[in-house]
Amino acid sequence: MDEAEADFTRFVRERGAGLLRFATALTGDRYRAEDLLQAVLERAYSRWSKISHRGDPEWYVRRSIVNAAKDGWRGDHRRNAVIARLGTEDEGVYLPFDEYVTRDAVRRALRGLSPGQRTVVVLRYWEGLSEAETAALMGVSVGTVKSQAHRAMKALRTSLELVEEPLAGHAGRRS
Amino acid sequence: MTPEERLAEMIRDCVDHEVLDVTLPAGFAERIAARAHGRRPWRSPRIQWSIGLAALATAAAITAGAGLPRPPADPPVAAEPAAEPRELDGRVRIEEFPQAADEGWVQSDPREDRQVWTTVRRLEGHRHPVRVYVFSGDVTLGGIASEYRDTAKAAGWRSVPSASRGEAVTWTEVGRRHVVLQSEPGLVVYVVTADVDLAWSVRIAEGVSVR
Repeated sequence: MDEAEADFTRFVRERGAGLLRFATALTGDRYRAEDLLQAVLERAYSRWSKISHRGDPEWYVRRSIVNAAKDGWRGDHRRNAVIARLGTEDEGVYLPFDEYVTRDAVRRALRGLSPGQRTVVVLRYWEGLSEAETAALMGVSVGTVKSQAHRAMKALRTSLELVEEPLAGHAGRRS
Repeated sequence: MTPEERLAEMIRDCVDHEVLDVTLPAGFAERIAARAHGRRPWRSPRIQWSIGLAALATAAAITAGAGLPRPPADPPVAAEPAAEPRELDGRVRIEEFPQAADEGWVQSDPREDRQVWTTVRRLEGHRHPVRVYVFSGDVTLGGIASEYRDTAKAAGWRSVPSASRGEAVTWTEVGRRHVVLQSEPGLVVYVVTADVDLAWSVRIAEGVSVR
């Protein structure tokens, strides 16, 4: 094993789990995130000496993940289709009902966003990055981040309100 | 809390939950290197040459009647053995947890090399729940902290903050306070609070014990 290979392996072992969480947050799908991370790291591997000598390989990899995610990276469609049939990831996990309902509604709303909007939302509200930091990581202007975030939050509010209406209507029909 | 803040909190909670159980598959790094290289992992030509030469040397020594060459003695190993996961379910006690007005849920999450015990409770007089995660097994403070993006971000994504046994790493992000404490090797406590002061958050982390 040469030095670059050893360094790359060490990097993935130490930072891989965090990077996979990051990719999962951006894509909303842990299996797609794994494929995305693998593709990004495979590309990085071929240039690892150059990337690591710049002194901040994690920032490079995170930026590559963001770029892939915001452009709607889908990976292996067949694999995703198979996984989709396996059921929701919450199966077998017991949560208070209201917490489960809220989280499920938010998850569905987040999945309704465009890849770019979800990327902005995750970076701004989950990672806690500033607008400038988000713009730098995504390689876009601060104005784009602002407008994407505004549209995304508006869509989320609308979507979450729409979730409540059918439930109320359903309850009324039953009574 | 404004509606905007409430929505942001819901997003954080949802994404937190989505990534909670995400772990790196075994051999992920090796798989990538092998795929990128187009060869089997860790079988470099240099190693294969060395194995071949060693085999030739051994055969020559046996042929010459000199017996098997004695390998050099291994240097003493200073590294500590990996901590075995401890049974956490039903054994975790939080001494400093004040009177709970609303008890949440408890979940045991056994893994290959660690266990995660999780609880969420809402303190009396506080609107936000307190989340407590206890990790047991082959875990370190830096390792667990680095798995949570907040610490990595606080360090500028450049390094994992180092802390010795008994020390804590704390940071605040978007109104949430995070405390990661290594109470003993192989046992790491991670506490997330919102409208609770830092001293109390640290006391909660320090008050976690495993019977």
